[in-house]
Amino acid sequence: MKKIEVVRGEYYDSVTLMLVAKEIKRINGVVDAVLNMATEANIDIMKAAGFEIKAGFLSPDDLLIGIDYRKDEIDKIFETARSYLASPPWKKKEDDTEYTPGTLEGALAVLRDANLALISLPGRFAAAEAMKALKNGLNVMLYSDNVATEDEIKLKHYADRNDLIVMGPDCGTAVINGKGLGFSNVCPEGPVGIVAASGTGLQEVMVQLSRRGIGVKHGIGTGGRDVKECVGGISFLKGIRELSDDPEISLIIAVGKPPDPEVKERILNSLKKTGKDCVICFMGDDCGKDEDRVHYSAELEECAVVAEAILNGKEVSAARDKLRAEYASLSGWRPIEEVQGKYVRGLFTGGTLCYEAQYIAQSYINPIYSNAPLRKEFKLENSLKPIGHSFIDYGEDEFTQGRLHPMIDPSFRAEQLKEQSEDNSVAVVLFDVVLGYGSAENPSQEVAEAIGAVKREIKPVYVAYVCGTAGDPQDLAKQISLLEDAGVIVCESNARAALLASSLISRRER
Amino acid sequence: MNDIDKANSIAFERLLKAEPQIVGLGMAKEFIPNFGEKMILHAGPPITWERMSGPMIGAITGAILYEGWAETPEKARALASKGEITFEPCHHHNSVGPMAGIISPNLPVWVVEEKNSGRRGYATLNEGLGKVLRMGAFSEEVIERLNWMREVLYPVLRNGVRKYVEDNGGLNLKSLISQSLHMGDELHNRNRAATSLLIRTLVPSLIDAERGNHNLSRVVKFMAGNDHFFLNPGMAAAKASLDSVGYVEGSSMITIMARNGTDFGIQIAGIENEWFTCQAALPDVLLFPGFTKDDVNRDIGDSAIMETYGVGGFALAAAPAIVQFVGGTPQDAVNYTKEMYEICVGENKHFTIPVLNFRGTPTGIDLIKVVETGITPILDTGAAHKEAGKGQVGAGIVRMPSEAFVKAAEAFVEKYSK
Amino acid sequence: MSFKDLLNSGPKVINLGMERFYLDLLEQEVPAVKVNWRPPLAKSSLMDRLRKLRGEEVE
Repeated sequence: MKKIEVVRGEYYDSVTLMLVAKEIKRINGVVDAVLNMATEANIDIMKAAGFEIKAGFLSPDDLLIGIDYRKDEIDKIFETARSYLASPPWKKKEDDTEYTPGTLEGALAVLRDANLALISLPGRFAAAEAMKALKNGLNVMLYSDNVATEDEIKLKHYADRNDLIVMGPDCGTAVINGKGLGFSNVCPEGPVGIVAASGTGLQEVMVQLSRRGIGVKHGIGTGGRDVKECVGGISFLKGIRELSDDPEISLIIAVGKPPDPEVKERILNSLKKTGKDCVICFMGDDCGKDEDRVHYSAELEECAVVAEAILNGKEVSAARDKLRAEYASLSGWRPIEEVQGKYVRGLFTGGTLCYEAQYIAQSYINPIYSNAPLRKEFKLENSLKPIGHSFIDYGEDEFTQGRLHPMIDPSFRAEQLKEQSEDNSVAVVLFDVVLGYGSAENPSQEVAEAIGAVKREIKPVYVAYVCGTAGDPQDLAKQISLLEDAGVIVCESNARAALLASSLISRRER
Repeated sequence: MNDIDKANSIAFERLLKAEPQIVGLGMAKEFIPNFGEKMILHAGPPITWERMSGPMIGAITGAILYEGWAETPEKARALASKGEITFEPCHHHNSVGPMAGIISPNLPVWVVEEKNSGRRGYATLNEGLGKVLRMGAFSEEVIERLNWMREVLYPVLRNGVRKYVEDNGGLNLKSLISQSLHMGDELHNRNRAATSLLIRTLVPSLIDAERGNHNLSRVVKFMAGNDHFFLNPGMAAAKASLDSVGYVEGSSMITIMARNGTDFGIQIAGIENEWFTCQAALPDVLLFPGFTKDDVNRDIGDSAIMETYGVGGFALAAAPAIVQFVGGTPQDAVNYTKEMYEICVGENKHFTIPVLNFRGTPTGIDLIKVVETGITPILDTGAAHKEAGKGQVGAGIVRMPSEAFVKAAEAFVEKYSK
Repeated sequence: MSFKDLLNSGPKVINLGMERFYLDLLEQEVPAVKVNWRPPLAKSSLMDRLRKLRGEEVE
């Protein structure tokens, strides 16, 4: 039977709720368990899942526990859920739990020289806490999304006037003095500084640099909306200025989706004024011609290759040519077995990786549908029912309401991967696995298991990219071999994986 | 510093300056202002007979029998429901009462006075544990004990206190509270040290005033056998001190927190004489053997005045032994106190906690901080059985419900926005 | 501490939100404190008015 309970006036963050749901689902007889704060969106989700919600007035501060239990005594399961909330079973019993401050001010009393607030609270609360942090002289990294544009502008103007920076909203990655904040990979330190309006974009560039032995001192995230006209690139420009002033940084990289034209102009001028070598990577953008110390690239790996050439005193065009040659030979690869089906399906956890993959693949296959497409006309009507060639970003809002981000919990993407694999019209399945701090403990495992469970006579070709470094906690080598053991072709960059996957089909079409 | 902070500073300083002392004992009807003939005072915000919970109904029944206004419990309840008795909050008459908090005309009360302002606080004598009026019991045993307290305990104490006051000017309660915080008390749920100090302070005067009175030893035994004897004058001290703050324009400091077993109510220094109420919390506490969650009555008593004053649950770090009641560790006790600092105006230099390096207790609850941080005050309290007279079912930490604070914040904003 | 100072001396973080971010910082030996954050009791319109009263509004 399906039943809902309302718990009023208790707050739990979404991660805790989802982990509790996961634990409850392990119980024999539990068909489904959903725990959500009663926002309008979540109420709809629960109703869609078949739960009847009768309680009169619900506010987003009330907790809904929905349980579908095959056996009798469903109330026992609710009791268990509540006890898990009070005492999470996955938490190690700490010996003598010191006091955890309940407010920012309380925290400041404990860490008096704090200089950054890392905020990942629900969007509707995040702006106020960010402002409080700024007023207390702290810089802010705002991981939260769903922050209103007016609030972002207010925050950034205040920060600007007070020599502080706001990284975000929707900033998932930053690296300050070699230390990772949010989702980040373990990389060496070095003479490169990066300003990025994209999280996994920053990660991929850092990973590609790291594989070439090049270290990064600072990777400043700004959030995607910073480079829109309404915000004006405040944080982006601030980042460039500081990297420019830093004597330990000799090369600056700017990464992101193409900014609004006026902001792009300001960014270019600012980079030129630094007098340092710069690589500009606005993905999918019309590349300018390289001038003097400013180089352009539309792709993330290429951006790292250009940077490598500059830092090693080699010729940039030669380096680019070499990369293209490697790509060319990659696109000539052909599998031994028969390939059944005609479509490529991409399943991504990194938004920018999905975007870049589309950009690269579009030369080989067309059209590519997506929930975050390169062009509006290719938007999927139903992201759970992809058609033709489709590349889907499972980190998009529509999937993360009431669900953990796929980089943290890979299970949903793995389910989708299995489902799509069993579609006979699918020839190639392309996916990313992102490692590093913040990501799941063993992401390749879930995908490998899903692949193993696929019921289809001739399975699709699996192509993947593992975005990680040797220093990451998940053990890069192990993550790659888990996939290879499952028959996946693992490529060395997001670009190569997209290239290989799409060229497989395009050659067949010829 | 903005206006609200300035106002809160004023309110806070007044509270800290307060010097509550026992100046005597007397009959409720003679000393408590505006005490009507057929009037009974109760804990918490105003409430009608129809909405009262078990313990309060039982206590009122007992009081009516004690006063002789009816002969049987059924007749007593009939009388109460007919509207012939006026029920008013203790707080409306400068008084406070733990649990049901019932004060009837012929009950003896402590008279506590705040030295600087002259504001007074009144509270009855604590009966002890078990089947007692304040838990809603009304059996013959209860009435007999109340009679003994009026006929024996009261005169002895009254004379002794009179003698003490003659010799010393007043019995300094603030000093006793301060000392007992250094002896493992927190002054709401643990009063053993304070009770001992009180007895020690009074005994010489009791002896002097009652030479040859054979009741003296019974009186001392009675007090010594009741670990919570100090709670009542302690509450009166808190009441008189908080009353001495008075109205402070623009202050968001909380001057009353009280529960009546059905509702929870607060008042603020910046809004005169207005209750903000909501449903009282259902205590989720460690239960004594034999009782279940279904037996627990909603939170009841004026004893929340202790936390409002800066002790009780707020000083839990001073009373690590109490955590046995809450099933936690001494670190938990410390954490509760530390949490309360986040919602208070200041730290109380007079009430310090040894284990926190003699840091002053969190004092002066700031309504705005409560609403902003989502941290509501915690109390360390007993829980009553919801059926009258069945006594205490457990004790532990209870968190106050948020609605009353939100209502108060709405009113505050209405009043002070231009 | 200004942005420049942050870059020079490295992050010292107050974490509000997902605990895993805090734990990852500890692993990297970054000085960090986590906050046991709770949402305000009042809805945002009331919070705005309260902040205005306290002079905490921002132009």
